[in-house]
Amino acid sequence: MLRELPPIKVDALVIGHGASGLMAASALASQNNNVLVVGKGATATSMSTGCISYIRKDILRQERGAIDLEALARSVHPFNDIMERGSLALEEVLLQVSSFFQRSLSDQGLEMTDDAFHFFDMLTNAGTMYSCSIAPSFTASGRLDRLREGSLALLGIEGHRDLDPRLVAAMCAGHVDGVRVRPYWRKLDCMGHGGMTATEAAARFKNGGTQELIKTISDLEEDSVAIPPLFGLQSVHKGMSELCSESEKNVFELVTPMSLPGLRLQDAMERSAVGHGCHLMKNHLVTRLEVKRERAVSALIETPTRRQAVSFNSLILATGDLVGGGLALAGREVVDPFSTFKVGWFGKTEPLPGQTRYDAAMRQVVEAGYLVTHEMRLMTKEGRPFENAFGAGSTLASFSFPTGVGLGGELLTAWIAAEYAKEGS
Amino acid sequence: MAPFANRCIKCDSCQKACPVVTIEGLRSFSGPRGLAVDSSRFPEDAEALRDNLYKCTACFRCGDVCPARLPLTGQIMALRRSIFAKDKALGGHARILANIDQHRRSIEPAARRPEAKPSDAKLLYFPGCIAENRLPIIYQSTASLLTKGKAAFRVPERWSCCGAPLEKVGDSERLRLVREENLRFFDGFERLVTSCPGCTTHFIQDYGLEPLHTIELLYEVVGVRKLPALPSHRKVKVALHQPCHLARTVGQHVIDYAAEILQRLPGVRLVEMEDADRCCGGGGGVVAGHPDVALALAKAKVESAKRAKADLIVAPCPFCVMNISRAGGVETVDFTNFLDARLK
Ligand SMILES: Cc1cc2nc3c(=O)[nH]c(=O)nc-3n(C[C@H](O)[C@H](O)[C@H](O)COP(=O)(O)OP(=O)(O)OC[C@H]3O[C@@H](n4cnc5c(N)ncnc54)[C@H](O)[C@@H]3O)c2cc1C
Ligand code: SF4
Ligand code: SF4
Repeated sequence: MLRELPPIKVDALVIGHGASGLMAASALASQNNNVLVVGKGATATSMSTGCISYIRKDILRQERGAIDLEALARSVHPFNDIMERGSLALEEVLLQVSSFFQRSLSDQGLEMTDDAFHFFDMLTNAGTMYSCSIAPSFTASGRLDRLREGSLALLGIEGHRDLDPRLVAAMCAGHVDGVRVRPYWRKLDCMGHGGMTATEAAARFKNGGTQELIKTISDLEEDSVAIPPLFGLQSVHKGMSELCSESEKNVFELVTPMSLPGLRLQDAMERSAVGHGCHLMKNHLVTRLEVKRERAVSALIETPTRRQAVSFNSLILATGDLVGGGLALAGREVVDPFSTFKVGWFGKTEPLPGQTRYDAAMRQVVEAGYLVTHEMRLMTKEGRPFENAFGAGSTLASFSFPTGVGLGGELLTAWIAAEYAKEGS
Repeated sequence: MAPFANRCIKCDSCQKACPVVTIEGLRSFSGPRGLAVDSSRFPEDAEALRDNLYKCTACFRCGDVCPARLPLTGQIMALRRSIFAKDKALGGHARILANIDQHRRSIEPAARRPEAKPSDAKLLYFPGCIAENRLPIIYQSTASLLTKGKAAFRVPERWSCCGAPLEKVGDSERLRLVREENLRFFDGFERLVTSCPGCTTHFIQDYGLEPLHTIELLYEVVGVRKLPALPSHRKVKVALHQPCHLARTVGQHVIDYAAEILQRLPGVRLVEMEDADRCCGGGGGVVAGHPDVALALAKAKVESAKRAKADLIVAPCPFCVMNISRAGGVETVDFTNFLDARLK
């Protein structure tokens, strides 16, 4: 039995509190719209590496079909449309998105490095290389240059699961970019015993960890040192700066999914949205949408014991992919959990040569999502565009990880959605 | 096997969010995924997890972050029910059962407790075990606030513990008993209000009633925001603790109400406390079952408040006030108590 709370009215309702939802919400709120963000569950954003991939400009400029990577070609579908229709100057938009994004994060203490969509090569905690274009300042981004001058120590902290230095050294066969790497396991007294999650490690590290770590780092002979992530959002900038300056070494974190870097990005984006004036309701689920022909009118939000109706002028759907419940499965079909919008995909249903039916079905499941117009307008099941409902992020067809291009492309869709949504508000 | 176990995507979000994992580490506590998902596959071994299962504070944080939306806390409570046996109960839990049998309260009743005055008011105030017997100031402040807001109320002449502690211990039999008693005792009321978010949640989920938490009543019905505040009061920096059963089960709107009410009091400044919604250790029967875990969590809460440079922690929950106070270091008071002292 759920008690009904008094209904509320907002300019824009954003469903989903991942990077896409928060980006769209911040953009709308920064233009004086009254924005409510409702979300529940860990976001894919909080599980990511906290580094932003970007669609490469050269890929964007090409015609559809002329691109070598078929998956990328599909994932840039809406952008090709934008280019063809020339409604927004893409390069301009990319610059706006990244500067708004970086400014917002930096206000919350998360400094990001970017080189105008230049791709950074970074070392992951699995010993593989990884590319992205906007990254937190104290990752390997932009630091591999300095690496070339010396050698790199991989410093594993006993009990901390995020970095196994022997594994990384073995995976990259002892060298990164021609630089010799050397693994070390060290014990920090503040960390106590036993295996621990990253958040637990960060909690323990708060108790005097920085000084102990500075000493450990200074004792190593290498002048670049890679460590697992140890600082939360509040202390990362200060803490990492201190490690570098006190040890006089080039200290950075390795890129790690399912760990602090993603949680920091999530945290910083939430704070930024609130800072821009959004009302953020976490732990709330949107369970129903009401639409009148091509207009979305209201939504029902629920906690385990209460429910509330919200009416709005515009709606942004940024609910993520299948994993977070942004999309649902019915048999082999991917469907809209709200039974309102058109869901589809851009591939062929028939198996490609050499593929089994199962492969084809799997691909369809992974790539399916909401279909949108080039203005990110969601569509009715019959394919008519909505006046005031927009889609953003990994919930869109072909944007879901790993077929999509990651956060970069998704932030862009969120920005475009906000641009058009604000006209309705 | 719990049918949902296969839906876990092994993302570890729950393990990272769990406050007990942060305190205990994964060696002496398996964490939400370990208990609710992995161990659920081996129900025959549940007995071996007895110690482990009773460290969970039932804070609902794990299920809240789970992208597969698995009811993790509920599953942990189901495992507790499956191994419940009175003679194997942990020391503190055995005392809860004995108190229920003897006094129908989860704790030893205080020698002097506030007295219920008979009346035919349609608003029923359920103070709960703690506000009646350990922190009567909450009972008195609530009564005073309702009087200031001209809301006629009464406390049921007889009542039993709502049963939330029994649910946490896993005792379905006594739980049924107190529910049936209370449904008989609560007659002729139109609205039910509770001090303890644990009672609020339990009345909704186990009894099917529609209670309000005190803050909801004060904000939505009594109109506490319109009551005049005492003008000058000493300046104080307040950290608002977000009790698990308010922030997650009843809903964040109650926290928003509380913040709004506090902010307009002269001299009060709300400071942002890191992890404000992290469990203080007061829930899940952990204070009784594993007091060391409850104390460590309370200390972590006080540390967060100190880092936020708060003079005072305000907690809208009797259990939280009691547990955080055990850690000492920063004064902790109940929301109603704090508010009543500042209204005319
Ligand atoms: C392990 C991993 C590593 C990754 N690494 C990278 C990387 O290094 N670089 C990169 O660019 N990308 C990376 N990605 C991809 C990227 O993180 C995601 O594509 C992106 O975060 C998706 O953002 P989003 O806002 O669209 O959705 P999400 O972040 O998933 O947010 C959507 C949220 O909405 C919630 N929701 C759904 N339905 C409802 C409802 N009805 N009511 C309320 N809430 C609802 C969901 O539970 C979810 O929490 C990674 C992904 C993963 C899983
Ligand atoms: S309910 Fe809270 S304490 Fe219990 S397992 Fe979940 S997160 Fe941990
Ligand atoms: S949060 Fe949910 S899906 Fe993730 S590991 Fe925990 S139980 Fe599994």
